[in-house]
Amino acid sequence: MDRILLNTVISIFFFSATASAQKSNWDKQGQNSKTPAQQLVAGTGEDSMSAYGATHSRTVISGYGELYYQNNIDQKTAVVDLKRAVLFVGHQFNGRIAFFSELEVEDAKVEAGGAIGEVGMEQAYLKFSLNPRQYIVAGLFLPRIGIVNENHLPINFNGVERPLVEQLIIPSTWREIGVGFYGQTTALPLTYTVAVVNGVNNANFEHGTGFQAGRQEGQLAGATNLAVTAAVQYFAGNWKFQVSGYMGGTTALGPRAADSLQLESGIFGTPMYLAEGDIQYYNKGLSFKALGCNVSLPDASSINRAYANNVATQMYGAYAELGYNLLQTSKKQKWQHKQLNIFARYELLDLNAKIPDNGVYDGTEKQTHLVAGLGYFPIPNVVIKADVRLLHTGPQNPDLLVNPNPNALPYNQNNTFINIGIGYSF
Amino acid sequence: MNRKDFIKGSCGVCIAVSSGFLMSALLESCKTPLGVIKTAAQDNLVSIPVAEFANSDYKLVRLRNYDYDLAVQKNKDGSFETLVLVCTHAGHPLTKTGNSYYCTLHGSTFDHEGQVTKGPAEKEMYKLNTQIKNDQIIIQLKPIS
Repeated sequence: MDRILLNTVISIFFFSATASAQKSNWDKQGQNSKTPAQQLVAGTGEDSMSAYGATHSRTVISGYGELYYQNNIDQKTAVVDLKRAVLFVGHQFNGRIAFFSELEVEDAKVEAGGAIGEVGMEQAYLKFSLNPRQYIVAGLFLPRIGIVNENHLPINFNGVERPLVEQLIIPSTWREIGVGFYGQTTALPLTYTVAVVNGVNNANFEHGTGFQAGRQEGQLAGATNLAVTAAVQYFAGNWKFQVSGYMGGTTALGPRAADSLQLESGIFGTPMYLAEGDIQYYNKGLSFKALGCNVSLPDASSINRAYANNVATQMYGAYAELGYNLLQTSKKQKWQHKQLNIFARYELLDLNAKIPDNGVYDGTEKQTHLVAGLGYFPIPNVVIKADVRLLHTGPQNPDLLVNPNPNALPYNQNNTFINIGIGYSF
Repeated sequence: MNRKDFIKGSCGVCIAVSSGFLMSALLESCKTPLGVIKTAAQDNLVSIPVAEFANSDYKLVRLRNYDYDLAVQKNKDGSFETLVLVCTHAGHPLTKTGNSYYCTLHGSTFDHEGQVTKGPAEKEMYKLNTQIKNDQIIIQLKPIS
């Protein structure tokens, strides 16, 4: 394992050095007006900027990826995984209409019948600009809910793993098909969005994963149920504030099938509500983030009755994070434009904060995570990360063990994970 | 003090401190709403009276038939510079934040001089040639970098 890791790190540095040298050559050739990836696209036509704005068509290729090593101290196991490699392709038809997409490969490969790995469109939408400050998107896109869902590049969050609250309570990257209106006011530094998307599907809800498995993600999505989502962001000095909300039906069935399962159908039938708020601060290397989110499924008992998937009536999560760039005040030339960020994050979440009468409480779904670590940026778009995560959960409910293994070790409510990872974006 | 009381107390202090910062930041921002000038270009030239900057060092300029807003900033030496509010990564419009510019598409940020402070953007913001002639700020609609 050590040798594999060593080879991986050497390969990464070799790749970085090669890429850096390549960039330098481009710069020397005076072609530094585009990113290297953009220059790889043949026949891109004119640069988007002209005396008249973005009136010329062009194609942009870009992307991001992340790889990690994780050691599970309690289980005495370790894994290394190319978590995701994502390719962006965008095309600007003219100054008003553009296409944007993200194609993702998760866990390095996908094989027929395999349980892991995924190839999927993370986004694919058309963007229609109404004016410089307002536009409409139509297609498969990521609603503005939480921090990570919209901005999920590994260079944009501290830690090898995305915050657990933004994986389990707000399942990133949560995309659905719909139409969204985005804008920003001219008088104040305030942005807003409202969107209509297809709803989630409660038939696929799984105990222990919130509503994550109910996302339809653009694949023959049931559209008898819809959802409305909206968000407002406000920028004040070095602060950024956001509130967002989601309200949608979860029964993706026609009325006859829904009636037979005693589920309420229709646009907002068997509803799900989500409310989220977050704060971000950055100034002179010091960063702070805090987020809170609450999800409510008032008709969870109906869903459990229909599908026996033991979903909760309410779940919530919150985290706060403090970070600092240790190289912020360095005067040495060699540390210029580099970052060494230390951070600590505390997260708490409960996937069954309230359960219906026909639900079974699972203490392991009430969790706290304390994460502390480092992120080194040799250049702004490449990061090498390392952290330690301390997990604490509630006790296991023996009623949920259908076929208990007589040789199983007692459930440990505390665990430690050591993570090392790399990430890039371009 | 048990652990629960400690966590409750700590959270209370954090909320109180954050609320203080929050209120001061909000009040600070309310003092300086974004000034917007709506105009049009003639022969690829934009003309704005210098007097528009009598009480402000920053104006947002929206041009008819132009795809992005412009940020015109007055420097300490009395000169002016103009940034185009478009992200150099994927061509998405930028949002003016308190002291910087932000791209909602991938999270790139730029400082008030247009330098990249966070990727994925790699190139600084486009700047337009800006000069003062006869008490008018003349902006040439052509990228200079």
